[in-house]
Amino acid sequence: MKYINNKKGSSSILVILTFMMLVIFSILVMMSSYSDYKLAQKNASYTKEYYELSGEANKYWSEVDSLISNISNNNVNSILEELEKFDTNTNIDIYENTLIISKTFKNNKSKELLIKLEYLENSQFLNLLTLKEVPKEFEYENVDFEDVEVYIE
Amino acid sequence: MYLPINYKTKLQNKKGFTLVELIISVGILSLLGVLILLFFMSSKDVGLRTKELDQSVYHTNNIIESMKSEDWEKEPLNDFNVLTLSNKKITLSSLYDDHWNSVNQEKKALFRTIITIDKSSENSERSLYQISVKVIRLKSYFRGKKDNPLIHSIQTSLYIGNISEENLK
Repeated sequence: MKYINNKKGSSSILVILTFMMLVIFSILVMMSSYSDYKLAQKNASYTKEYYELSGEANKYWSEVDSLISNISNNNVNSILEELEKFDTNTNIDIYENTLIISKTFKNNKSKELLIKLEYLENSQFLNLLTLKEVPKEFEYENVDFEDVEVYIE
Repeated sequence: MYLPINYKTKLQNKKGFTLVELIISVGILSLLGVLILLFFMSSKDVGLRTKELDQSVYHTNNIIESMKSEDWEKEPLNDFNVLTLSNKKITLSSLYDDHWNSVNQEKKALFRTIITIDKSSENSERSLYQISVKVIRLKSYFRGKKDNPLIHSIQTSLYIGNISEENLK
């Protein structure tokens, strides 16, 4: 009881605790703002990569467009022949008088962008159908599914 | 002066801290204070950088998407002034204040956005342009070393309708 009732040094303890609180709080604020900054940087690099890939897709579109405009015979089969010569990695689907040209662009971080172009017979230009990012495929690791017994009355 | 006996005894008490003790305790407390202040100020600086980076990413995306849809007469593309204009290369620039409102005077501005457009190839109706958009801060950050730090930049190519002088007026 003698030590508990002794009020000597209580103000120093109060000051130490206040400063401890301030130090902890400032470190937490710092950590939170740094994690926000890292997230913003990730978002910035994500958009940068997206527009780089989109630039490549636009370049491809312009190249195919100029190829088609230089071909004198505008029927679908001759265009198909020229396109296959131009790029072997392109996927081309034929629907009656229409060609759908699709190509995916990949960067070193395995981000993929798909472009789909449409060619209508006897036209001079390509139409842009799709320009979108391909979602990444992933699998969950170590997921154990339990057998659930169902009782039917 | 009338004082209760209890206070009188307390005033006559000569126990206290020595000068050395006081100097040491004040020194420790001020050191801790400086440390705390530094932590708070740098976290405020990082917070400001985060906010400005997010805003400039949104701003550059907005510019590129407007160029894709060829909205030259609408915001944000109508804010830009033409710096250089030739057949092959166009440079545009615009100033913004801290709330991202377009301003004319450099004194009031905090950000400068520069768009560089290079024509790569030309077809009859459309052309392929190499686009570069940069957002530069005109004042340095509190804990920054560079005078005019580059906040964000994007390089891409766009296959869009031919850009004429009329578009940029």
